Amino acid sequence: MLHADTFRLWNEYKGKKLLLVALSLALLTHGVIIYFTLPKTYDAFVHIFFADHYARFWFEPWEYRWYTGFLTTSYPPLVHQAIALISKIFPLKIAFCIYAIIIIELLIIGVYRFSKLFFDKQIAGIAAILTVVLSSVIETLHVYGQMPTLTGLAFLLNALPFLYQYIVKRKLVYLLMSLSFLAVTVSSHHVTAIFGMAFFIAPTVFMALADDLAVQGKPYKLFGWLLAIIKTAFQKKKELILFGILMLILAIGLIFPYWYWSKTDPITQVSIPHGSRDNFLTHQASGLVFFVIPLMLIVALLPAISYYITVSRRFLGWAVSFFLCLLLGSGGTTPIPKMLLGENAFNILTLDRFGFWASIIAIPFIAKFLFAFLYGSVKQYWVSRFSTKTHFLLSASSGFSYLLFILFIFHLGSFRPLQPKEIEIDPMLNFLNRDEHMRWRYLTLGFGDQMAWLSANSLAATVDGNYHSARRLPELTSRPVERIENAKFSGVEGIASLNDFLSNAEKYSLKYVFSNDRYYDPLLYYSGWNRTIRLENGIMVWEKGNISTIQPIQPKVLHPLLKKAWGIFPLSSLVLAFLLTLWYLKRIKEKDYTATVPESSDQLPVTITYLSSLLPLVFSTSFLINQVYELLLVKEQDTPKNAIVNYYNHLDFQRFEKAFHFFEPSPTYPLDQYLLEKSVTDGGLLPSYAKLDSIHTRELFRSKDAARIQVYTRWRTSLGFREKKDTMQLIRQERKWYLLPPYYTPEIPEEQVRSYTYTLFKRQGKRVISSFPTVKDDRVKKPFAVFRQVNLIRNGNANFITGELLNADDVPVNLALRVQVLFKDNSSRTYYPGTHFQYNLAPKASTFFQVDIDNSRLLDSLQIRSVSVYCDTDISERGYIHGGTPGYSVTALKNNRVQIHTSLYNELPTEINIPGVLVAEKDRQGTIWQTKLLLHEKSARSGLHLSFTHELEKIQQKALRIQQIPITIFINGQLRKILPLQTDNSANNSQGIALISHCFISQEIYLQ
Amino acid sequence: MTKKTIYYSILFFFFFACTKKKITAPVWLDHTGMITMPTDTLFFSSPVKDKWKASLLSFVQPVQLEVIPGSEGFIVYLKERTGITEGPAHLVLQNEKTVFFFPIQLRNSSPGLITEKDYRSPKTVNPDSALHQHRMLYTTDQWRNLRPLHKSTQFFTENILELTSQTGTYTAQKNNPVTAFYVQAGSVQKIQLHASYQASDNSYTVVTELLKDVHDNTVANGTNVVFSYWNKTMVYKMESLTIDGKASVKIPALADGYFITATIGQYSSHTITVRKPS
Repeated sequence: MLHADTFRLWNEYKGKKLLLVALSLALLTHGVIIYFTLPKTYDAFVHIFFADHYARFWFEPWEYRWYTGFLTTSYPPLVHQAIALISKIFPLKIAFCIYAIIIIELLIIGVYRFSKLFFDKQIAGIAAILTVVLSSVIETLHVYGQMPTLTGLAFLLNALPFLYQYIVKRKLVYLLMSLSFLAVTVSSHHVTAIFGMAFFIAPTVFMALADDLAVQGKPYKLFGWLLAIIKTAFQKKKELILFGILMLILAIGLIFPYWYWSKTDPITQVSIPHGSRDNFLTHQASGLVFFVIPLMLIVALLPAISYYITVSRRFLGWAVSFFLCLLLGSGGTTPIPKMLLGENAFNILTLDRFGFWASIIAIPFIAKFLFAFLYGSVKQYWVSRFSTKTHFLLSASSGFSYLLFILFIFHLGSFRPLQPKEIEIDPMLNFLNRDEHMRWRYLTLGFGDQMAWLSANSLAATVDGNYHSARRLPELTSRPVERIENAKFSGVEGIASLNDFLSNAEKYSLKYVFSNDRYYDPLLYYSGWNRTIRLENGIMVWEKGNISTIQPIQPKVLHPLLKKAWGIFPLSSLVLAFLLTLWYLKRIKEKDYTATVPESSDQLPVTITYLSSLLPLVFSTSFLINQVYELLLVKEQDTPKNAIVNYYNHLDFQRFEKAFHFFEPSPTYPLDQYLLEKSVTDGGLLPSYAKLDSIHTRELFRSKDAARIQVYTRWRTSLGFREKKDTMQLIRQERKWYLLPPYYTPEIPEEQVRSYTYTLFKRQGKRVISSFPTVKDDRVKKPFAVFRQVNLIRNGNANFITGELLNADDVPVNLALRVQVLFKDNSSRTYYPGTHFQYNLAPKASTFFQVDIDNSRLLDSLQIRSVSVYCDTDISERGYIHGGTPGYSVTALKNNRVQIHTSLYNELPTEINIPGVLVAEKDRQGTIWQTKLLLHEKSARSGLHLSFTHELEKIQQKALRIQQIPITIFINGQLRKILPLQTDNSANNSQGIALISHCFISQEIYLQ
Repeated sequence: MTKKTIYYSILFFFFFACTKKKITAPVWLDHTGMITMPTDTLFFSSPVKDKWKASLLSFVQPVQLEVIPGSEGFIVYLKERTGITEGPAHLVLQNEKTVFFFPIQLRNSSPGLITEKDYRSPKTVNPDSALHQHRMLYTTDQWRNLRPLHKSTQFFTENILELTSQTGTYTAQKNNPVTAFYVQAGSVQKIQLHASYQASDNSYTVVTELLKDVHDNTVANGTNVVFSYWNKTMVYKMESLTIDGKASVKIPALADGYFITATIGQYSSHTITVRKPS
């Protein structure tokens, strides 16, 4: 008796000691590293942004800075409010870290107390230590930055023992405690509130009923036992109903504005792709992040977990939850999750949270196994079967390889960059704060999740955002696009969405783009954006002229009472939980959740012993070996195809030195030569502004030591896909295949020094030093422009406005063009030109334009009444040098097609990065029928020529020029007349094709 | 009985001691309904001499006034305020929660520095359209009050001016750069080209003569000139910007000769021919 009591006391003491070790370990590891991993996480900055909102506007849920405004009642506020409070003393990032540390400590305590429901305190202590190093927890904190998920879980786990004791002991104090913790869960995270509670609360109730039944001591078969559980549930129906009703009241009442928002403004957008829904067998990158990393240990120990969770009936509810969560966490690997959740829920939810919950449920059982492996029956088995040395080696190598795996997760961002490099935001804040730049909206490109950090530090508004559930802009909701700022990663739809915003910038008062990725430069330039200034942090600021300032938007109105409740109730629940906990610890706390800890042996069948002892070592080691192999040992040049594919891969990621090593080693072809030739032949749309989308190879010839391969590459650019075909020669040396350097004859200009005279213009801007908005004397006049022609053309189902604009002034001009179509029912639609237009013109220069409007079916059903074309001008300092001297000849082909052969001469002293021409199809009278932008993939170096050919289908034979609909034109808001039409002799001599240069020059001539 | 009386008396005393006296409106001694800046001091008669606050609510801004207790009431005066935007206002006197409003007129005793404003519109004129300019004159004092024009009872005048056709920058008011207005060069009237072959670099040099508008003004620097040159096979377009009224291009002599024309806006030159010497 004495011995049993002594053992129990020792057990409890050890359990608490292990808990203290776990808490200290968490502080030393997570506490130290969180500040450094925070900027690289996906979601931390989003939550910081929300916290900043509450720090500024506690009782006002309307946040205007994203998406033209959204309600913060779209997310339970407690986590953000808590961080906001801490940020009153500490800076935001530090406040987030402090909050994260507190939550991780609470989570560890929660796991400890949760594990005590299953096993004894010593195992609970081991579970607590396991939580510190569990890969799913590390990933959720240091890779995802999902504080609400962790907060909700921490309080949920702490609530469960109270709930358990309430069911078993039927004391109201436990009901009060459990509800107070669950209230905090509800106020922290909506998904945990909806789904997590089902996966955790139901099994807890079930276990409590099972334990209550076990006390009675009657033996049952399974079915009879289940019936008995139901009977016990009926006996405790008052407690269960009371809990259910109060829980429902809390869940609805605490965050009622959230439910109100969900009901009145439901999410109706196209599903956004997420890696957690992929098939992990075919999408291995998603599999790594959403399955291997969080669940590797769980899968390795699945035999032991499955055994322990099923061997005792009291764990039946947990077994169902665990396997269901594990299944749902497998994403689209099987069709079952979609069948279980339904298509809608499957496409809205991110499924990684289910895998995370499975890993949490598994913790007590893993701890149980670890105890058995380190001290218990499993250890005894290994020692008796083999030796102590063997067991020691096995446990040491398993532990060491798992630790290496954990270190890999901590540094995942270094091996596989998940975010762009950290950006210094002060220069952008200074830019936004001066010259009333905040009166317009801005957009970031290539910032990753750091765009939320910029938003949190500024009062300026952006048209983008990082909380997808709350957005309602049709350009975003109608496409499966995450954010505009990483549009290139969302494929065609992403670029299309970005294009919408850049072309229709006036609609959202979008004037500034902070670009951190030159991939978007061509799209920005051809959509009428100009480079303004390169900030000290390297970010280029692009600007569009003639954009109106932000117009006041009526925010969504919430009742003042609901606003007050939103600001008071959630935080009050946290304060109440804290105070109740103190009171509980002082007055109520009992030693055990039940009279006795239910007995459970740690004995395992032999097969499971072997599997569970060896699989973690096998899995961890295999994973690490695979990573090392991929990084260092993979044979990139074992076949001609692999050599080519890996060569292009290195080129795509700008690893030029590595790409060079694919060429045949030769003293006449050193790295210098390669880079020099590359600088001469490369440049242009491909590959400077492109990402490799796909690559295919075809063997033309293959022998033992030589091969000729045709390579088809498809490149994604911001202006659409481009395809390229190359032929490459390879030879084999020392079991490796090498590329032979291509031979080409460069054009060599005769001059050694070239000159060109630019005329640059500088607008003085505000001369009177006054922060007053306008000084009448100091206003700059609007430059003159004139329409040379405007035509409404219908070509089958397509309709567009074509024409020509002339800059009639003596200064360079920025043009803002829009077409307003008025319909019979007095409704109207506005259209903007895309890339078929030169937005900046030198003095007396002119441009063709084409503005696409809606399809014929829609227009005919609405019936056009009139068309108004508006042109607003502003003095421009940039973009009016379009570069290049194009020469062209046109050959007629069959079926109204023509071939335009363009020869471009670069007369400038700088490279023309994207040679392009704006082509207009004119009839004999000079009427423009269509306009097209034709680009070439390669750049044109200074003083050199290049040629390219395009085909164009002429439409004037089949298209219709609609003259019966009146077209009125306005220049700077004033009604104007169109100039008389002039014939174009050079077009008439060239099959009706007129052409002007429209090139993109990357060198910032205007910023010198 | 005596104790009760004493208690009731004490209660009665406290009751009346705690009730506040009602504050009656102070009487403005020598009230004229006008306050002249900066010299006026305002005297008020009131049984309550302290805890008064005063302010001027003009239609432009509130102005805080200083109050000091006086023998018969209190005195209100402005702290170092020399001028104000004239017009109707309210004098506000407040004692704790009681507020009194006195409607007044504000005047300045002296106009201070007088500034003449000469507004011109448009600021930029182009001989292609009209050379007319609308001019408006008015005068303000140091505190932006309108004053009658010099030697006149009118507050502003306007007239239409006919500007010179010579390009240049002119000022409406001397030594005031913000009043500058501009006469721009108009569109070019005639484009004359000259072209010659340069054997030294195998190119054709094409130059325009001095480009002028109808008023003999040289066209503005930076005017875009499009040189189109062609032969039987290809058409080329080379652009150049004018400097000091002239533009030139150097065309690589890839062919034996070209036809050349220059275009500025709507206007084109005659077509000339250039050939390599045989």
